[in-house]
Amino acid sequence: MNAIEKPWGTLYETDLLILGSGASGVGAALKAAEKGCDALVVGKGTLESSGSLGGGNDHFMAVLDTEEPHDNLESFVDFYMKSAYGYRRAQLEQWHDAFAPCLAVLKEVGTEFKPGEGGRPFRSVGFGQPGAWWLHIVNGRTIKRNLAKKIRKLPGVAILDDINVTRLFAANGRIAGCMGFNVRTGKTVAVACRTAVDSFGWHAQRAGNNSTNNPFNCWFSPFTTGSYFTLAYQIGATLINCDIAGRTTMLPKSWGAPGMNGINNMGGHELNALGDRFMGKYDPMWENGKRRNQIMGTEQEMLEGYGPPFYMDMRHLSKEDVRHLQYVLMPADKETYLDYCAARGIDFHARPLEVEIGEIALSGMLLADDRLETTVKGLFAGCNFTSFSGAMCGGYTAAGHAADDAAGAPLGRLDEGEIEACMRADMAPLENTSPTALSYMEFENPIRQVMDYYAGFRRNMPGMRLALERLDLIASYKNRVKAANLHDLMRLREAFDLLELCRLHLGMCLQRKESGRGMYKLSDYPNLDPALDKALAARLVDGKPEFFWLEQND
Amino acid sequence: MPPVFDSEKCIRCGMCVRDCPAYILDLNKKEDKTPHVIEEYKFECWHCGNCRISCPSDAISFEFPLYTLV
Repeated sequence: MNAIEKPWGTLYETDLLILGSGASGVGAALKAAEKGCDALVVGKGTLESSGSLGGGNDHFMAVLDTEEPHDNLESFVDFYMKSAYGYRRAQLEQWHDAFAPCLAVLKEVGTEFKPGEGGRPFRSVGFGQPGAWWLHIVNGRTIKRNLAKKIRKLPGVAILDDINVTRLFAANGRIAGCMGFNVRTGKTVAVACRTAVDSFGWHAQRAGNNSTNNPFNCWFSPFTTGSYFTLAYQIGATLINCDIAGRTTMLPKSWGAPGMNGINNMGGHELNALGDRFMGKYDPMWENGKRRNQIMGTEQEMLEGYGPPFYMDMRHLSKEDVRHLQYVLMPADKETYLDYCAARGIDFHARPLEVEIGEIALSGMLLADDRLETTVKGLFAGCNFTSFSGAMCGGYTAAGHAADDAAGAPLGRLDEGEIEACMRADMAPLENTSPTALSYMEFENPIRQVMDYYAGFRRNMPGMRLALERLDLIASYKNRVKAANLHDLMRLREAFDLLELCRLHLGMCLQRKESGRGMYKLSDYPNLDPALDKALAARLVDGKPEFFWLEQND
Repeated sequence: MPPVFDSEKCIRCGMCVRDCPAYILDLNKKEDKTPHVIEEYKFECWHCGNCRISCPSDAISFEFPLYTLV
């Protein structure tokens, strides 16, 4: 890597640019080092604590190819090819192939897994899956720290912490680099690269509120708001599934935290206000069926007046399982879980845990080929796979191809005049002294106001069209915002990403005239349409989104 | 929800400030350099606990705000 001081900031040159330092960025860095590739990781926060993994994790999904039922490649590929759109068989095979090397690194840095019988690790069945693929992590709180120690020592891999990337650059349909600013110093940085892995994070938060009306009190990292999609989209990447990939989970009441996969797959029962277990009405696998069905089922119970409150009941589980859930898995998923339990007097063994339906998180995928290369040449999709396993293995896999291609690719040429112009535009809110200028929350809150009101779990086409108009109005205020400091400026950039992803989500939802695949139900199209058993795509054409359908394996 | 700092235990190393992914912590630069939560951003705390994991002197605890208790 070269670093060249410029009048406007610092220009870095690297072979492989890794965009984001969460679990996917970590996986990408590991693979880049394996390949002996010069790589630069650019991320917001510090490597030790950034991304959703920075808050800990309690599970890692891995098919281990034993004789246990469905513990094989075919079952794994079959599950994801049937339950999601846009995956290609070759991609899933590579995810599978990355389990072993990623697990080896996790063990090397001290990650401990709950032991099972016969010397094998214990694993449980995740939402709706056919086999027991989820390893339980015992010391999940410090995974990111331990990985960071290793990553910082990798030969050929450099880390730039505290960088809010605001733009990617492409030339002739090929990735050229990125630019952004240091959140602590304000200094502008730009990176020219040969290839890049997009590892900005799959789960976009802050698109809606839960019962607390604090958008930062959410399921996954609230500092990921959609740049994985929007920055790539702006330079020509095609997005898919941004309509139906949005997700929600049940949360502990009034607290944004992961963990419900663990409670459900260990056998927790959901109860409504009357104390009735109801999920059998909505999924043949009850609470451990599809996550979507648990949310839609709970929503239906609520509409019919059977809740709130709702509870997850674990009193019927063995004492050991209950202890494992409350005192091992949950704090591994979120470091402060036991503080929350203490504050609310929660005891999984003594009484059911009150839960609520969480906020809607938006997501999707970057359209990618067998090698995870997006429709922008040289830009690889590092966050198309789900969960911690998918993020780490996805980054790892994408970086393998990106490193291979970097050897023969030209170094991106960045236009310094353009960088300076963009820098002035990025920093403009710091100079805005207008008394009517909007703070970042004055700009961002109306986005959630629109999404919560018109685009909740029950919605309709006229409402979504109106919502899109309202979001267009919010977009017209982008030049009327102010930032008191770099912190505010960073939040404004996050809000811009969020706004664009919300607009794309609604634009795509308006194309899909059916219910049953996404985390919402349309009153005007209440049924599943078999003809729409395919992915919907969006790309930027002449400054506007163009939508089109893909057949499987397109 | 935001962290609470024990000034007796705190060794003023600043690691919590470095590792807060929300950028909502700072040191009392004009006083004793004990960390504090920046008042106007305290609602941005994701209660991830990274500050506490980083703390070498066990000086951080969490106090959950009223809206998480109802």
